[in-house]
Amino acid sequence: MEKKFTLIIDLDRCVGCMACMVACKVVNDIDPGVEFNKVYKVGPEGTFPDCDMFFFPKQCMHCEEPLCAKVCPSHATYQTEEGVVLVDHNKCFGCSYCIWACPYDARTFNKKKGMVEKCVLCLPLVLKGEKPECVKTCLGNCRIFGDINDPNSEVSKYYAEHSDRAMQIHPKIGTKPSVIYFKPRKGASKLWKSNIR
Amino acid sequence: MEIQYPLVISTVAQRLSLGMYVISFFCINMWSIEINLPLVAIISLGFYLMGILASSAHLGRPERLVNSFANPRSHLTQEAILSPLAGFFLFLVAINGFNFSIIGLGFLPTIHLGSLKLPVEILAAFFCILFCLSTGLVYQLFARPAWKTRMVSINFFISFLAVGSAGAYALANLTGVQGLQNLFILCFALQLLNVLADLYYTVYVSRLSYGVAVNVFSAEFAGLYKTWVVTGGVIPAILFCLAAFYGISIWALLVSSIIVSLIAWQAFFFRSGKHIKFFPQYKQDLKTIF
Repeated sequence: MEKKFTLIIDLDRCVGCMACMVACKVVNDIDPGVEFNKVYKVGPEGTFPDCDMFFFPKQCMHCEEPLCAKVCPSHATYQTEEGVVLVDHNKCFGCSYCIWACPYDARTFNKKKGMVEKCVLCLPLVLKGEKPECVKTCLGNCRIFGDINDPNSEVSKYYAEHSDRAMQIHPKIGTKPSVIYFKPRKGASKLWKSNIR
Repeated sequence: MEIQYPLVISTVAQRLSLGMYVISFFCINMWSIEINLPLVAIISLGFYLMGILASSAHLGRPERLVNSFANPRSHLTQEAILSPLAGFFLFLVAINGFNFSIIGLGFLPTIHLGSLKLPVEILAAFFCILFCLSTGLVYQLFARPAWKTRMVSINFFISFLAVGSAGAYALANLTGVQGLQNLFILCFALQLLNVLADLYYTVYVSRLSYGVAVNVFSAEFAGLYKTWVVTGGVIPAILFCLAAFYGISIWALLVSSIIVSLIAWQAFFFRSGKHIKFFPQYKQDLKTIF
């Protein structure tokens, strides 16, 4: 069976330390104003002790059916065999159409380079057998990465164990994200009013 | 996502130019109005090229523009393919019988398309319409709630006809063409239709779900929306009434007002598309998640 890289983000474990954001910036040498990975705070909502809050890390979902690749007029956005969605910087001419088409707001226009950039899932590291830097750095171990098609991988086992909490963002759109979120076990019932900032 | 002002300018210029040609062509063949079609084509080409230049200004790497032809499934590629075709046939219409000595190129012979004249004019109109349809489809995106409706491309096409008719009416007046009653009525009807379509879209975006619904009277949208109401509705209504009941035709103000309204609308449209639906902002998401 083909490899299919999957990233699980367990919202129950995220402590909002933002180490993943920093690690991502350092490893990928990201220019100021460009964000591959961002952690949002949702809440707090309510009054103690009846209050809720959690953190929500967001990045490219590396969709199986990526809308960004579909609309890209230059074929700069493409998928690797492992399902990682990348941008070919030799082809991108900075039209930003993929930014409009992404339902997850996961892409940034780099004004300095004149092209669009996004999370690359640290593919150079992954191909060497390592994990993405955000996964290695995560203090709460909320990020679990691996080949979901390998039943012995950590990610497959974790998924099987906690699949009742698994969810994809906007499944109705049909992009089939490779990043799977696990719902927090408590709280958030009042947070629908809170905007993510 | 910011308002892309180069794209606002380019789409307005392209709608004005191509719409003006299509409406002029229609009026000539439908009502035998004596509009000078090569002159319309020349002016259209000017605005059209201005639109293309403005459009390329928003690109990060305009020198790689040729890459935009690579994916025929993308509406942006379709637009890129149609763009030179519309321009080429407009150019052929423009040079038909054109006296090049006017622009100091008297050494060039006057070109007459002869029997090819009508097919070329039809092809120009055809590609102008196709180009505008493809541009409308570019903005009809599934990911953005405010743009996830067919009304996006329908509105785009109606505004193309409306601003085109206003442009054709202004140009016909400017060149002293007589017998413009039908064109005046067409211009009025299309602008009315344009306003109604935009109002329908306003209702659509106001009914979107929590966090993405657009309140046109909020500080974020009010300025642009009020500008659109005044320049797209109020001023044209007054000018149409003055022309219809008192015979006072202020065509320059009319076309200017409609162009400004289109700019305001396009900027409003960009801003309304900025908001995307995102976990866990919404009641219905939480119902399915928690």
